[in-house]
Amino acid sequence: MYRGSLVNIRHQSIHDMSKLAEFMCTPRYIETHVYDDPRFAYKEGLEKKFKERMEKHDHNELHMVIETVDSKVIGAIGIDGNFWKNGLTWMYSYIGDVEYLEGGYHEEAIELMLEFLFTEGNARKIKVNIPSNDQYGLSAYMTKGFTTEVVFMEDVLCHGKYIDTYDMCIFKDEYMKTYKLQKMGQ
Amino acid sequence: MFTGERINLRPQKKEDAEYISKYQQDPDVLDNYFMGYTLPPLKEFVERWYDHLSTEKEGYGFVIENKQGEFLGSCHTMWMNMRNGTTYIAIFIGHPEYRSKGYGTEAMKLLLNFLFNEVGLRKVKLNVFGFNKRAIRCYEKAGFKVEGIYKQEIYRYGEYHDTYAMCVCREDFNRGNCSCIEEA
Repeated sequence: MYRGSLVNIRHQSIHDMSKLAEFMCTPRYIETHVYDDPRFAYKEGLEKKFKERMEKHDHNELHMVIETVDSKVIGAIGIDGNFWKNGLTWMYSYIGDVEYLEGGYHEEAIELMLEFLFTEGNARKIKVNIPSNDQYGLSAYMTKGFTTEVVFMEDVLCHGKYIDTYDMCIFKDEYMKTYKLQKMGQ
Repeated sequence: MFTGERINLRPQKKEDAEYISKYQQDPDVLDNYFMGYTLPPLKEFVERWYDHLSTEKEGYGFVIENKQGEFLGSCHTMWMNMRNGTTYIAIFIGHPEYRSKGYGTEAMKLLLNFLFNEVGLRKVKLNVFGFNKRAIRCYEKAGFKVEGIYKQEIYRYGEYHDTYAMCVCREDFNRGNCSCIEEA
């Protein structure tokens, strides 16, 4: 488990699926996950998916929950792809509990994940795709040093109109400069 | 089948795996086509991939052949998303004598015409390695524009290279690029 002052991140367990399914049915989640077909998640379906994922034991994926320091699950974070030949890692994250959208919870979860991926996972370049209607997500990733590489214009459908999506990334070299300064400061 | 001036596009068959794997062993194709290792794919691998393509709900694979029916190359869709009206595509001209002569551009226009005006897609996307100048020129001729650049995205020849994200929209394509196409 990686611990911060506001949140911790830990491996997902089957007991988290009910809460995650609840988050995945919220309008905000559906609106900001625009590559998926419109649908509603249900607990049993997520549990099945979770079991299959565990059995597959894919080293290119990692799925964790974001919880507050008093163990309340508020979202999820992880990697859903890793191309180690080219040193590319695809990351995702979301805050499902809208009460925690502000206040730095998402930012700290991203920070913990980046620390793990760069200093333990030996990632080189971490990538993320965010739709333009996810202003909280865009802001959180930009705060943590992600920069925009590609803007896909009018790429995905949301509420009857096509909106842009952003491919963002952060390199290990850039991250480590800040990381080392922070460590020296401590 | 879709016919152009010098080439035809026909749906891919399992038997084409032999030609596809043969031409994908060409270093020029390997270097420019695959994100992964530059190791020649086996025929069995291509057959498996064909099985996947033919069972996928929304995916298309075509063989590019000349008017004599000779295999020149192949093109296919990836990650088609009907909700958003988008897809990624990939294309290669395997036969060395047919490279840099406009066959790729013609094939691309036939493929785009099919995807935009038959399938009903809105936007077609692709990624191309920055060092593959020939392909970039071909895509630009077919109407693609650069949407952005992925910095240091692919490791090849001992160093990291950029990759270009390119796209073309239906309106832009239909405004200027359909004149040479007739459907059979």
